[in-house]
Amino acid sequence: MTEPNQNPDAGTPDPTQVRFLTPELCRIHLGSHGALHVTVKDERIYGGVYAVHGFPVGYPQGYISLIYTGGEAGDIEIGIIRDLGEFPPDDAELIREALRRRFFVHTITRIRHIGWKYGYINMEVDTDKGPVSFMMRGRHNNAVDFGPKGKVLIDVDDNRYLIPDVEQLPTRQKHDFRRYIYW
Amino acid sequence: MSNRLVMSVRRSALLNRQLPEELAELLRQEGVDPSKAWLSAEADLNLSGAYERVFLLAESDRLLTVAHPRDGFPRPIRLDIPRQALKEIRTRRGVGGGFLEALVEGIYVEILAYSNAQADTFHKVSKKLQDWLAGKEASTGPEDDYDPRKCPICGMTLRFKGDTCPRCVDRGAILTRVLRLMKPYTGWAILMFALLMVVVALQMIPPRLQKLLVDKALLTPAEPIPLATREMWLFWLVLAWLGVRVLASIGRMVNGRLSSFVATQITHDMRNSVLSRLTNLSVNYHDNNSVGRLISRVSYDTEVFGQFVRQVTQGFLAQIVMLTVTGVMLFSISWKLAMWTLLPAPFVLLASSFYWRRLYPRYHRVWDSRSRMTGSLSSILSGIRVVKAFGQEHREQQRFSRSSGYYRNSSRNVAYATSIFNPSMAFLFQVGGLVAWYVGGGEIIRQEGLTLGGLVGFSAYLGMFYAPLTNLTQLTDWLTRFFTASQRTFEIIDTAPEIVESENPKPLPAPRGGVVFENVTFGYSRHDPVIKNVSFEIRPGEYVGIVGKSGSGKTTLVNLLARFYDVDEGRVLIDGVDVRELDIEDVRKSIGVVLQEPFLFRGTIYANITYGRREATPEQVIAAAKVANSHDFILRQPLGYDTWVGERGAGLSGGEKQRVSIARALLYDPKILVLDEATSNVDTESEQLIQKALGRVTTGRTTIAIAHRLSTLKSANHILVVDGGQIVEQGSHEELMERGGLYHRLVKIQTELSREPTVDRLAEEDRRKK
Repeated sequence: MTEPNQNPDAGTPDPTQVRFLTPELCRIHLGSHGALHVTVKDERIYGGVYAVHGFPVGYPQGYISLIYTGGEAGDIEIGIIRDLGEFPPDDAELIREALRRRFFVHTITRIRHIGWKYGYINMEVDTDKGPVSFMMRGRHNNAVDFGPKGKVLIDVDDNRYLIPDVEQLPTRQKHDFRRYIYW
Repeated sequence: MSNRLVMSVRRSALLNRQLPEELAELLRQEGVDPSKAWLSAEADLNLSGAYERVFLLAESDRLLTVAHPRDGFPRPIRLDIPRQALKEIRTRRGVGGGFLEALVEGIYVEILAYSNAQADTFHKVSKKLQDWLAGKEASTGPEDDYDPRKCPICGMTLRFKGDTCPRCVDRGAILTRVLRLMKPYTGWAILMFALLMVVVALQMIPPRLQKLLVDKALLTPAEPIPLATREMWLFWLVLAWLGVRVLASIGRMVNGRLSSFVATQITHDMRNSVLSRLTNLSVNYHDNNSVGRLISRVSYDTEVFGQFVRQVTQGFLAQIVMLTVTGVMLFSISWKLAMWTLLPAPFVLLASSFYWRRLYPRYHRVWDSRSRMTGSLSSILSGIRVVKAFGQEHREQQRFSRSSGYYRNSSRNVAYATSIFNPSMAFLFQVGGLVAWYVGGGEIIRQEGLTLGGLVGFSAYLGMFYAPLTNLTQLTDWLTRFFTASQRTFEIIDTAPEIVESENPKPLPAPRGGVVFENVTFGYSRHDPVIKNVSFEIRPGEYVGIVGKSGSGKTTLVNLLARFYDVDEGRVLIDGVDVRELDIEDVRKSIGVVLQEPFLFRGTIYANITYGRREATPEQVIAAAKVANSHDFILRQPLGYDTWVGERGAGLSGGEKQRVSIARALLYDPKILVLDEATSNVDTESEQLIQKALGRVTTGRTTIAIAHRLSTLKSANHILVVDGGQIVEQGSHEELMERGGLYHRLVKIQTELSREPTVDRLAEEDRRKK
């Protein structure tokens, strides 16, 4: 188990500069209580790190920002991973795991039923996390574009459901979907 | 550190969750007694972001997360952190969910993950645990289960506190409500209905006359009738026919005028009601609804109420009456023939039912796409200067064209469906007519009682019968539009304002201007506080500056003071009274705001200055303008105070608009004056003029200045430095400079920047040289 540097201000990254993290520059590992840690060469160990997608649609495997909470200064970016593929598989998997935790999105695999009632769209769907029923307001900001062909649906509780490519849905499901979410 | 842990006898369903017995038993085997936990909450996700029931248990001396054993986790205890190792608890927002985190050994550790459906619960949990760590009384009870953002009937998450639950709104009452709207016009309605009945009765006469005409005058009778008698029948029957037609036309004209009068009046009343509600709804409602959509509701949706009146008097109700009466006439001439004409009826019913189900969602699409197009247009026209400055005219044209295309396509879809349906229905009825001619013609040929005059009269009634029947197939179409639009209109009227006046509001007749923030916490979104446990006091007459970085929560403090929003926790007091207990009008009257972007309305400068105090005399207006350094430039305008300014004050410079807005605030004479970065958008010369004006305005009133240029705060009695939603420093300018903290750093940065040459400074230097 690796513990973070005792001096939290040592080697704090310059917030005005972009720093790309490479496998040569840093190592990704787990620390106490399973928290994600990043050790930057000749700098320090950052604990309690979380990962954020810069371009979740355009570059899902790259431009991933690693951030930690640095005391009074708030959240500070350690650096950006340009391409996750450059990293050793174990390190890359830890980052993917962190991204999965942060981006809690259901990917819809099948639309079982879609209907309209009282100004709400009711959906029964199969997702990668199991079958789900939800209600969403039939407004543009509740079904937003995900790339050129996809849609992210946001239900009344602000949970998210992704259809990566609406065109790839079976004809009947696509027709029903387009009847209610046509934009 | 010790604190009192209170487990109420009445338990919270959210924060005292019962563990499944099997899990509880496993924990007991591990030496953990779940019943000892003073807080027990259930999360729906595990730390890998997958659905799993994970429980958080807070005992007096430790925090645990527990779940059923599974692959990779053979024991039920996932995390066990002693209380002394915990320094802080917080929630962190993810995408579609969030985390409960603890500061342990200098790093934030994720304790628990949850989906957004549980975000509110874990925001509460975080607060409870922070109190627990701070040694305060930590308790849970049924009051923790109350969530103002959930519908109390069905439990659905609402858009904001006090929102109408669309699932539970009483739809059955729509028609009753519309009829109630017509109550003031009951007399007119009775008159219109009576006229309608007269017109229908008159329309029943001509076919009878036709029958007589054919049988008595035109056909050669079996028994000879004198020619003169037949000519007399012809003359009087045609004259009677003409008379009936004239009377029916007059009846229709009068009814048309009456219904237009009532219809336009009801639409006008509804528009006013909707706008009245919109202006009373809280700022949060307007944050959540785009201007374009609301314009569409006020402008177009309210028209259906007028259409309803027209339909009742001239449209569908008239058609139904006509249908019934002509039906009776048809049966009176020949019941056998009449039965044949009803053949298409079952097909009509089936088709209408199909039409209702399939068309309903399409109308929402038409409405939605039209709102979107209006919103797009409004955005382009409002930002036309930016569009032109960046040379993006073509791109905006394309963007609008896309919105217009959506509208075109959705309207086309509805129109296509309608254009197929209506002629199909008409064809069905015509087939019924042909059947009547065939069957009736056979009866005449076989001399079974029906005369030729009877068949001609029957055919005339049949035309009158089919015409309304054909129109009534559009009843579903109209009803759909009517219920959709009226539902949307009532939705606004039924929306409860989020900021509700206290039942017994306390007046604030002579405010002194004392302000206290007491442990205030507030967030615009559900679990993201912008202001965190803020406390400060401003004494009457004090000049207080608020400084901080963008997004630090400065303006939010003012929004809470003016009660544009209500605090989530804590209290805001004016003269020692909670603003929620005060008369809202008195609160707003006691506060005057000068904003960074001064908003002037279309109208004269005079009307803009007197906006908050219509009864002000010209002398008072001039006095206010003088103090605000705006009198001189106003007089330079061609029509002085009567000069019209365009939308948002177009025609005046930024500094001039700001000075008019200061004159407006001054005339309002508030005891608390809020200057929200009032000089940050103007040039140096205007700033000096405004500063001079403000110096005079602030005398004798409590002034809260949110300042971008820190040099303007040197004269402030007290400065609050806000960062991350908290007050991190406070004191006078000198004290804060001595302290060398955030304020000192900000002043230093601005001093460095102000050394850079600016146009104003260069112009000043140039003037001095000359």
